[in-house]
Amino acid sequence: MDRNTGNTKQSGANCGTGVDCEKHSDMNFGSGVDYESQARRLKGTAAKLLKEGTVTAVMGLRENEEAGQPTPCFARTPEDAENLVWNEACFTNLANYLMETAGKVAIAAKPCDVRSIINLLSENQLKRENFTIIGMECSGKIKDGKLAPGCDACPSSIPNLYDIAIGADGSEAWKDLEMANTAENVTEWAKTTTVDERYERFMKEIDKCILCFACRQACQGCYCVTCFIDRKATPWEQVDADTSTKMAFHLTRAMHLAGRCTDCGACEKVCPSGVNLKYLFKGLSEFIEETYGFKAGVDPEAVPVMSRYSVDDPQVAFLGGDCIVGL
Amino acid sequence: MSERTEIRNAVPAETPGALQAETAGAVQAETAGTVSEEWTPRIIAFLCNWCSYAGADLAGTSRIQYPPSIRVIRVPCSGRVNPQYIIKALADGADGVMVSGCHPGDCHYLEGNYYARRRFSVLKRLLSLAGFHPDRVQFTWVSASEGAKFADVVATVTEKVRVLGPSKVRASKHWESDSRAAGPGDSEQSERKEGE
Repeated sequence: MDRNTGNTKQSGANCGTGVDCEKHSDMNFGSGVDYESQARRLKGTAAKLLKEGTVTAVMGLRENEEAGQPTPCFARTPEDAENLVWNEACFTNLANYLMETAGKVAIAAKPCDVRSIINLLSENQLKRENFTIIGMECSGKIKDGKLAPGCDACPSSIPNLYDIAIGADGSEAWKDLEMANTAENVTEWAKTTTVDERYERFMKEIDKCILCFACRQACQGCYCVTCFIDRKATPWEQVDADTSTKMAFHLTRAMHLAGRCTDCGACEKVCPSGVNLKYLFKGLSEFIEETYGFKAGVDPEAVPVMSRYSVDDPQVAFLGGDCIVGL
Repeated sequence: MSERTEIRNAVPAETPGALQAETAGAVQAETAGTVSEEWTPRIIAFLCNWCSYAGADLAGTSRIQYPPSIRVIRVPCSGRVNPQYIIKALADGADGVMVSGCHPGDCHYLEGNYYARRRFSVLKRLLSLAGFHPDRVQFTWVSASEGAKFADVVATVTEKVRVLGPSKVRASKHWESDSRAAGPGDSEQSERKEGE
């Protein structure tokens, strides 16, 4: 099947879940991207930056046979830059590491990484002058033979903040590739289901959780020095490996990520037991965009939506007020 | 749902006095999903110190009757109510949660309830997406002078939660095997013993 002509678009049924449908198995995502040229250009750019002394390190990914997938690496010399790789398995969100680096660094960033960086900038976690963004054009990465989690909701192949551009063909020009855009609309789904069905879905995912907190570690938004789940300051904050704790952990984390989740899918990518709770985060993002007109990862100057208010905020979900969309 | 609808219809209009006859001692929570006429929900109420708590006090001193379903937790401001408190209450088996604060514009700390309003709107959507019925979590504004309104609000919230029946968390298959069912105090003590 010719993946470049877009013929595959007509073959699949309308996809609601974002996984395991005909459309996905047929379509080879990451198409239109010349990874070899991108990698060559990335290595060249990294070596140049390091040689000039503009940056002390370039953050990217390197091959890791043990892990079976590329893992984060810091290239500190022009020779190190040869270790950097760029391919369809490079889905790790590197934004997290920016907060832990001292001095000037460069980061190879996909659109989702850049959204995360913008979110961190708006929360004053990063200083823009301390890092150089090497923007990598991306039309979706592959994990386990499928489009990686999060890539199905990605709006654009072009990072919306960058210093150096590496387009899909390795040149400086963006190609603006077509995106999958097959992610479910959670609000629509919620409107057509009952609370019992939604509870069932939530419990099904919760059951799989082993409370390893890998999702928190991978998340760009979860940078608290002491996480609420680790605090255990009072008896009611005790953590037993039971359903109540799992519920409290995932719901509170979703609440903490409200208006801050950039839909990079890192939580789902790292989960060892396949917990798919990203729909909660996406549902909240949809709600916040609809109600307060705010989208995370767009404007680095924006004040985060949950740390401000408007006197005219709609009186929603309150007793006597309108309960939004009757959910 | 039909069973619940019948019960809803069987209950008289939402009047503050509708559930007066029930006393806490006579009420036992059902283990299954059925709702009996005698069952009174357990509702955790977070009340702001300056308005709603004083409103509840006024209801008491004015001898206005309201259902004995709420367990009051006094907080300095509705903006102090961490969403984690509400999530924790529900995850640990509360049948409902009610948060009440000063009317917008009347906050003792000027803007606490504005932040709270935005936060609770988002929280309610989140809980709804996760399958907690929106009626189980209620937010409302009650001022210090509104004793009668407070009684009214408690009666309304109680009735809304009552028709939904006991918390689904308590009814789930996990509940019995989980240590939480034994009560938080027990596991805390055992932890301490291990520490010694």
